[in-house]
Amino acid sequence: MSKQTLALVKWGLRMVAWAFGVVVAVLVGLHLVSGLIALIGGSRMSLFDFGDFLAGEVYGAWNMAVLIFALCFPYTIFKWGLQYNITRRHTWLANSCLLLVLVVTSWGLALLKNLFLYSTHHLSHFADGAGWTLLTILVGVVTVATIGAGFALLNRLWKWIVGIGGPIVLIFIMVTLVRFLFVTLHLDPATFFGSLQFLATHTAVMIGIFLWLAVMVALNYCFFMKMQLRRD
Amino acid sequence: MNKLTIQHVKKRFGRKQILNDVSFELAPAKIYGLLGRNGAGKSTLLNIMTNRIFANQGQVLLGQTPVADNQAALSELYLMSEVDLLMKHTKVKDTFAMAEDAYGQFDFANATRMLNAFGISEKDTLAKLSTGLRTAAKLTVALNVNANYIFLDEPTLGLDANHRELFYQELMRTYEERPRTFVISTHLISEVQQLLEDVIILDHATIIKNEAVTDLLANAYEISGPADLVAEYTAGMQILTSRQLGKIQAVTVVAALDDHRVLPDQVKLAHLDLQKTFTALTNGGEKHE
Repeated sequence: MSKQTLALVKWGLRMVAWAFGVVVAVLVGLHLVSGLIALIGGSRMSLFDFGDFLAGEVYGAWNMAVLIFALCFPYTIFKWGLQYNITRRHTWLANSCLLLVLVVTSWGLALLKNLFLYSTHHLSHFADGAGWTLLTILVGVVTVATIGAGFALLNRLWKWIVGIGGPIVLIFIMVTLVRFLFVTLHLDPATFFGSLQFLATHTAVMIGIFLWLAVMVALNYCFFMKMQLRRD
Repeated sequence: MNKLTIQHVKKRFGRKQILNDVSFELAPAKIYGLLGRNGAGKSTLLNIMTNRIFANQGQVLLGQTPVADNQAALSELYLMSEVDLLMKHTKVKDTFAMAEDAYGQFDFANATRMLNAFGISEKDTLAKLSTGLRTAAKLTVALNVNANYIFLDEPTLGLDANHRELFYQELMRTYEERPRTFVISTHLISEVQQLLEDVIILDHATIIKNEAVTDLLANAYEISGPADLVAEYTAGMQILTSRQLGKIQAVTVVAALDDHRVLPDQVKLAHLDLQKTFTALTNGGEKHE
């Protein structure tokens, strides 16, 4: 890894750590305040339950922060790269490394959350389904990051147009497709979904996920290579 | 150190042609002025040269190597522009650290000295600084970064007279200590004239002049006197600007004078400075052969 890529990763991680610190501090503050209010009100609720805190607020806030970061960060890191004349390829690589770190951290937090929840309920095998959790987080983060990189190509006006118009068009296409299949072609839903059963096999799902990931990563790379300094 | 070559660069924004077949070379260890009126395409050209935006056509080479997405070549270039690319909460000292991480061998000692001279604290965030001080902080990075081609786009934006003077001194100091190529794009032409070795003038999407300042000014004249004598003396020459007050006329020309032409006693010939030469070349005033 080049020193330029490492530099971008370093600055990005610093920003993530700073943002996460702020989020956790706010959450701890809110938790303590609500605990104190409960205590003053005579409730038997404990002041601070670390397990609940980790399993609830921190995990949720972290995942939300990761998605926002994945969506908004591509153009920010690209601008850092521009300021210090770092190539688009190195910037993409740095962004990918950061996303990987975020995914692994999310996964770690998910496992930790499970550990606390399982130990609370005296259950074992907290790591069951860990692979699927990792895949889910990876697919989610990579998809959102690719949307973010795509948005980085657009100016403000087109961001609004695509941001609002895109989901509407997608919904319209889905509704039209459903109508076409079940109204125009008069397909029987039971028969139709029955014929798709082969897609529910483990292998087919895995192939689908990896194909989706490959397309997203390729798109992400293409978007980064096309990014330019915008005037807005 | 390799020369930087700009080859047949074209850039269009929508229907507007910003750069049309722009070609020139930058030699190592020289100070250039990149001049042009507002909207002439100076910033666009600098952005293309540093791979911030794409040209529609043409390329930029460092030696024989294309600069586009080439880390080794890009690491030789640094552009300080009026656009703020870093986040506003970035501390000044962090901008130094970033330059060190990306380019290596950042001159921290000189940067700290410059910051003190500008009256900026290393711990200040960019958001806390006024426009002028933010420019000063950016200049501090630009003059201490380890790059061989440094482009300064509007380097005096918001700087007061004292800080502009300080910047010119610091530029000359760093240039003497470690000669590198500087390209200064500015509208304060009179102030930078003494610093520049060569000048590149952009007008209407093309380069209209690219030569040594001394050569350009050696052929830049204001010819004044009785209108009929001035007209007779300048017959056949390209008049860039013309002013008339009663019977007295003053015209500007940027061309080698014919030694065989006899200058009438009542006609006065004076050299123009760079700003007046630039104005004459680009003001789109009266032009006739």
